[in-house]
Amino acid sequence: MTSARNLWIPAALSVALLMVLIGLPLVIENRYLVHILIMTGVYCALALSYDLVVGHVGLLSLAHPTFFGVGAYAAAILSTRVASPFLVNLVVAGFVAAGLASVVSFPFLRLAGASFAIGTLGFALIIQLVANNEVWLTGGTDCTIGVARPRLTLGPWIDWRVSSVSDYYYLMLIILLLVVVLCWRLTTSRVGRTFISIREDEILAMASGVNLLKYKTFAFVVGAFIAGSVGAYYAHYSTLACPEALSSYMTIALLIMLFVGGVGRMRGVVLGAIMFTFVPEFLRIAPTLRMVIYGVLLLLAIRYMPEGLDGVVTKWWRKLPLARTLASSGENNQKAG
Amino acid sequence: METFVEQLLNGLTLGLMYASVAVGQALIFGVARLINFAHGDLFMVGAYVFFVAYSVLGLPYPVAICVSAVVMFGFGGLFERVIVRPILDRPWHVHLVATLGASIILISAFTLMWGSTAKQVPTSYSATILQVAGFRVSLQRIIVVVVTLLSFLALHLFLQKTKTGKAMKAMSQNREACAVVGVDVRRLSTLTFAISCGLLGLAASLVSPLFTISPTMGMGLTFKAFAAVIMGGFGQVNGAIYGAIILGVTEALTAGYISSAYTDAMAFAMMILVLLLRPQGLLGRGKVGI
Amino acid sequence: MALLDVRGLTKKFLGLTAVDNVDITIETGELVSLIGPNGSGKTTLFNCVTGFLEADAGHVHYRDRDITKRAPYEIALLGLSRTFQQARIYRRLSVVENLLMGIQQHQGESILERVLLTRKVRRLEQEATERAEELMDFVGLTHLRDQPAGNLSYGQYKLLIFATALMPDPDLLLLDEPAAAINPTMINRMKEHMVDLNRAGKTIFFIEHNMEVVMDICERIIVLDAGRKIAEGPPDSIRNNERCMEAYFGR
Ligand SMILES: Nc1ncnc2c1ncn2[C@@H]1O[C@H](COP(=O)(O)OP(=O)(O)OP(=O)(O)O)[C@@H](O)[C@H]1O
Ligand SMILES: [Mg+2]
Repeated sequence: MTSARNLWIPAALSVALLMVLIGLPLVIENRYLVHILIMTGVYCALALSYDLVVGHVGLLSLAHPTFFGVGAYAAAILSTRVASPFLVNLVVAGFVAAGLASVVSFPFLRLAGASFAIGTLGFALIIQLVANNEVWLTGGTDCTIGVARPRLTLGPWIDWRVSSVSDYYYLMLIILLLVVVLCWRLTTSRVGRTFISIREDEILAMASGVNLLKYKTFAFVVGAFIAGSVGAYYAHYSTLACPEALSSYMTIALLIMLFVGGVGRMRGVVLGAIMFTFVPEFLRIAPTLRMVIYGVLLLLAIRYMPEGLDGVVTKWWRKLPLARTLASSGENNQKAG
Repeated sequence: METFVEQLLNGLTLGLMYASVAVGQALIFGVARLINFAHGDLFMVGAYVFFVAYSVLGLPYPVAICVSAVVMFGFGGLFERVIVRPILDRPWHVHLVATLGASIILISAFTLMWGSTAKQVPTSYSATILQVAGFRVSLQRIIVVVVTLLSFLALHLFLQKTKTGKAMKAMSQNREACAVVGVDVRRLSTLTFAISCGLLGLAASLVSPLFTISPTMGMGLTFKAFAAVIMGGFGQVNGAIYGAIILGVTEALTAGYISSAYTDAMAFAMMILVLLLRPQGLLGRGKVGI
Repeated sequence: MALLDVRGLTKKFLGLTAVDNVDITIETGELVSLIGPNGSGKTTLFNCVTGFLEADAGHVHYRDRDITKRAPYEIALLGLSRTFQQARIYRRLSVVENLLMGIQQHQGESILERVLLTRKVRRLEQEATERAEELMDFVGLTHLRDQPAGNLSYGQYKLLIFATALMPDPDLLLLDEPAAAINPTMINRMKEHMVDLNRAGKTIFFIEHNMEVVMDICERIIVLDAGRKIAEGPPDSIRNNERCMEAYFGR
């Protein structure tokens, strides 16, 4: 927990960044570009929630996109069958995913390390099968289609019909902000410290009085909740829910974002998510070739950048003269105060 | 009755296919303490090597089998050197992520080269139907069963009788002690990958004529092989074979008598059952977290 | 009423009886040491007492509570702090964060309160930080406050681990070889710390191989050999006990 001394620098930077993000759709004419920005937001939110589980608690779940997909299906089914409003779907989808997560966490969290990973992978495959085969529920390979466009109403004051791409962009921005704040709170608070203690040394954590099962379940379920809600947004944005939302490629993509960006570091994860959604879409690299490049980058990152891009950037930043003066002035302040 | 026996034989061939992947995973886990998430994809590579040798180059079937096995032997060694060796001393989650990365590279690279549509590689044997004790059986299936079992027997003898094989077995029992005694852990690790991939090449050329091959066929195989390895007790080669055969037969019977949509779910269900009822089979090995 | 009461504790590993029907009683305010040759079951005994291993037979009572089948974290929260022989530490957390980790689970706020960062949580964090500063001062690690613990020397590790175990102000401190593998200066510091604490009323039960340390500071020594308790008493009686000397130096 940092002291108040030079908190204004990050604060000012965040505000500036937020202004830029709010202004972006106003200057970008190209709707496809805004779509890519939306997808980047979706992946940022997903990667951040995934990192709670993988980077902080150290549980290598391979079922994170499953919760995203389940959320998408929950929202799509609710919207098409009972025409429930967007906000309700968003929350219910989160709870459906979280409920599923707490049910499967009961057997899985008793498994150690790699067995946990394999177990969650199996779970992910089962849910894929269900999505493909239970046509009465999911529409099978024909998808659940015709999800309504969101309409947010708040009494007589707000009635926002989300229809244009930039509307969707702002909706995503709001959701992403909530996710960032939640993850930031979780990881920088005492909860985050407990998470890291589990990742660092489970046995020592037990001796420190940590109820491993409670904290692991908490991280897993909260991660699933976020993923499920983001899935609901995605269903309302793309107006459908397809089995692809559950695919193992998503798992791989997320793993790459985390491990190349910097696992366990929020900045790194966001960096990774931007790198691996915005850049390839922007350059219009064919999906299959993209996967080859992803795979190679993943291997290189694991081998040569154990701290990820964020680690590299931080190292460079520390060498810059500006950073040095900032750091030394900060130290002086501390001594004076 | 007739269909039951046919289903059983189907299940046996399926089980042997899983076993060829599972054996490699068990061996690799034993020697290198690494869980290879790309092993099923290596089977896929073997299948494509066979496809090229047999259908594209038009080599005779036995020659094509040997080509596939030999090429895969080399490829396995290479895979170990390039992908596995640099991260062998890192924690297990790095192993997992790295081999998953390798898996995705293999799948995508083969999709780029050969397209994503499934291919068939029928041999003249797959159409030859024999009458055995009143049952109609394709000759290819018999070849699969006999040759695969022979290859497992050869592996068994290798592990029991040769010095290298014994060292591998010892490694899976006590890795630290072996390193102290002076066993060359790195060379063994390369060799283990080479041997298990050679087996994959052989099995892939035997089985491919019965099924279709596609770049994405490996993922499901990897997972089912895991299920088999877990059922057999982690790192146990024989256990993995039994686990795989049980899995194959269960799957074939499920497909034949219950529903073909959820055969894959059977593997999962059985694995979870074993994980929950006998977790000590996995955890009992000590501190590695498996 | 004894603080810790171990009755007939037995632990077997695949035919090997690592701890064999051991009785131990520790009273409040004592400084007791557990000694014995390598592999005599000392660490295993600690693991059974603190819930890290499940005993095959016997009971452990802590202040009248039966803690035999309790989970390690529950036992820790009851006020029984332990350290590990392997010098476990959160390497990527800073020194002060290691210390904070030692107490924060004991302070009993809910996860929700933590996420909301309520005033109560901020106050608790403040208190914990103050206590951490005190203890860093006590063991002399203040200058390393914000260093990642992984950067410390082995001797500093041991001091940090010792201080971390003290963070929750435990009623009983179980230390597994606190003075092993560190240099003589550090050993002396560790000795002084233990004596100081004990004078201040803390109950300490520790495993140690260094006879000098044990003989110097303990009031009572318990000797384990091949899982059995073979002797118990003040340092002099142990020094003059042939069986103990044989167990230790004989073979
Ligand atoms: N988890 C375990 N599984 C199997 N055997 C074990 C286990 N832990 C300890 N042992 C065995 O139990 C016996 C007692 O070990 P323990 O670690 O308790 O000895 P110790 O007195 O602490 O020795 P040291 O002075 O070397 O620390 C040893 O023979 C050891 O090999
Ligand atoms: Mg010990």
